[in-house]
Amino acid sequence: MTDLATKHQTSTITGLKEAGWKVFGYYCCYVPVEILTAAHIIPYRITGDLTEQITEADNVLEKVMCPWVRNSFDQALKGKYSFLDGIIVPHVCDAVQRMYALWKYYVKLPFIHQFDVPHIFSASSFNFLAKELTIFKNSLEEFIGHKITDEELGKAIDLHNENRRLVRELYTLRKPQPPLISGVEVLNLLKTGMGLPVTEFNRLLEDAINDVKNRPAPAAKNQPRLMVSGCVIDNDQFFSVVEDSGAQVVMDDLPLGTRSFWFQVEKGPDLMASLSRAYLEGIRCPRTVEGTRTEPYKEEMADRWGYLINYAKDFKVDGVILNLLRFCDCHEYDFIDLKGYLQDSGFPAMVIDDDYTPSSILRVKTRVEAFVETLQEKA
Amino acid sequence: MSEQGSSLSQKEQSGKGGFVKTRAGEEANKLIASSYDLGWEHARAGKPVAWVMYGPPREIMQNFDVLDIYPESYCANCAIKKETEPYISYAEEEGFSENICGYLRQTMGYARSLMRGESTEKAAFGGMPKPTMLLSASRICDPRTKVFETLRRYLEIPAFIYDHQIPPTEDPRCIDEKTAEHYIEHNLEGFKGLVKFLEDQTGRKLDRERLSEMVRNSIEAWHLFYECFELRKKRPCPMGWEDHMVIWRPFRDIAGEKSTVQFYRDLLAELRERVKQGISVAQPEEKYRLLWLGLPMWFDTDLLNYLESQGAVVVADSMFHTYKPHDIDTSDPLRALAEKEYWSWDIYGRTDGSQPRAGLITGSHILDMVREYHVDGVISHTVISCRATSIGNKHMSRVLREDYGIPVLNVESHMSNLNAYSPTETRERADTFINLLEARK
Repeated sequence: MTDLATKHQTSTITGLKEAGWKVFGYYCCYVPVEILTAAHIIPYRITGDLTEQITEADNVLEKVMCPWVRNSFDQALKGKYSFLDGIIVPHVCDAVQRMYALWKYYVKLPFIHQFDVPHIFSASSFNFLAKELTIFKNSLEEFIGHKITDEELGKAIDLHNENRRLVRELYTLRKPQPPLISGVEVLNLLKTGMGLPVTEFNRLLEDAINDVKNRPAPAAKNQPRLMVSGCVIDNDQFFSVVEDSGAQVVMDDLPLGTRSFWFQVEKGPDLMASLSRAYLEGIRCPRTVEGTRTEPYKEEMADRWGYLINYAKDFKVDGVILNLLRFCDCHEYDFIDLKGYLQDSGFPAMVIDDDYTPSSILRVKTRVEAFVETLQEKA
Repeated sequence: MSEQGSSLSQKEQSGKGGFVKTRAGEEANKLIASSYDLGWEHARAGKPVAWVMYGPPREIMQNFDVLDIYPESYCANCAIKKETEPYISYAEEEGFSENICGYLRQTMGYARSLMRGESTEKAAFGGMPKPTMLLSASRICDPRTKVFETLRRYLEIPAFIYDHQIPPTEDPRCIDEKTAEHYIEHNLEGFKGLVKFLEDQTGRKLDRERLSEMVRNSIEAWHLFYECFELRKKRPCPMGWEDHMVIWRPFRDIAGEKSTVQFYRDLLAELRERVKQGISVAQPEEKYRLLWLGLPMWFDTDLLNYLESQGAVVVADSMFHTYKPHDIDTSDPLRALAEKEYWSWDIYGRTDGSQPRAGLITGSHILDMVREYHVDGVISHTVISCRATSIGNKHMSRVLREDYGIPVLNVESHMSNLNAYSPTETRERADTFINLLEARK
């Protein structure tokens, strides 16, 4: 079951490099991968490795910061990302933003760029981000030695829109009970695809969707259906623990999940403006907020988190796991009220406080099992 | 204070029997303490009171007769008085972990008390008046963007936050006029949004003439403040960091007032006199000049006296700065304000693509300070609950030590959790550090 990605993956990063591809790493959801695709560069999503103990990064980074960012930087210091030709660091949160200068100082790739991402939804923010993306594109053009035409960018937008549509189609396979595809399989497909040229990612998704549709339906089970929301999960151990405990991960609100794929880019006359609006407005990360709040707090919560209720209803979710990585301010401020809001809306929720270490998965296991047990009892 | 001009007291001149503080430092302390009283008067009169995270310019808020109270500033003062409880514990009871910003935990605990109608009379400085609105900007750190969403669980009052972006200081682009314009334009839009919000909330219209006057005052105060700042490069340094932590506050907390201009005029006169007379804050003489990275240890400012008693003076820091004054056309006051914020603050705030004053990563700006302030050693303070001022300090310490041979003392604390900090241990480590500096002389 877990080898769906491997089964349909046709290229490896080594093979692609040998074939002449340039590969750029990027942090988080806010980098418009269309710009890299248009430059004929593979966008490679930076991840951590939960099986790896942090060693090298301890000499450079404080422990009082996002453990996932520390882990991913540890991978870089250990040479795991030596195949990269460049790195893009959007200013999304305090921890990720610091990676720009650290990669510049210690990893020294041929290309590095940081751009600012506004925290507030506003017309000015959309304009500002469009200009930031134009500066990024100009800088990239200087590196590759030629201009990226609107035609190339438009084509890349089409390919990534198709990519996001395919991911959403993949997710629909999780709607039946039991789901036709596991959370582990989905995560591995996305993680694999986010290191491939988009055309190959799309092919991978098409093949996987066809495969799943044509394989024998799983035996009917009445397992609790869970949604996982919050900080990044990029290793399959977390979902394995959930699914081994007798539940199914059927939906998510995660960076390597819906947050990266639940929007489309509407092409207008100014493609940078199109990308800016789509990414800033389309990504539901708590680091971006509404500027004015005058409504009662209950209504504010519905405005901020109503989309999760829609997800939960659409995917017939029985409970929600809120994944909090230690020191993540953007999520921690939200989680107390978010948990209450979900529960008041009829969806039992639990918060898992995780420190992204190899041993943490045991703690996660104990807590998830207890949560699943209560859901099973309720059912 | 202005009449006292350049005459120094016996104690100050002798430099014996105590640490030589500036009169301006005392004056600033009084101004800050009285600002809380003013806040209560304003609130009792039924006028609008805003809790503000540093960002929204006071010059705009004052224009609408909105009194600005700064919870982070208040909480730092409480930490100095070691009176952060019971409010931090209240926030923890609500489930906010000790990883969250200490200022904001205390603020949330305090807001919970207000919501419950509990008396806050016994809070330090008489507490903060209950706000009628919440105002913030997204610059400096992530919690600033998030906290008012969370505070609204206790205080269901209108909140406004605008986006404020800060340029990458070490990138040559930031002093390029075109790039500056890109940031100034965006931040100006944020100010316009703030004006609109305040107009809606107060029913008043922006008084441009009054704003112009306040902006002109602010720009003048900036010039004077910068000159004061520059004087700390002198040997011996005429003002220690304990005073500096206080004297920068009028620049932000009482911005735009004539009295603030006068405050810096007096401070400048006092510092010039101290330089002329060669008065040192260290006892018996200034032997080591230190740079402090990160937030101050508000609850142990006595550490600075201890260092000064060993001849070590913190002559510069990474937090409370301003940048070299820039010519600004004040004909459009709102735009002038956006430019002033950019050139006085934002441009200095970010290092190599980082957030303000924090993550001093590649640190050419820090290395400039080391050189210009003749720094012998650096104290790097990691605050467990503050990512913005802590991430990157370890790296910067390593660069300073290994690439430039500058000794660094690393200290760690919580922002407001006094139980997690040992003054004795810190002094023991400070002694070892001073011995190291001595050995290098």
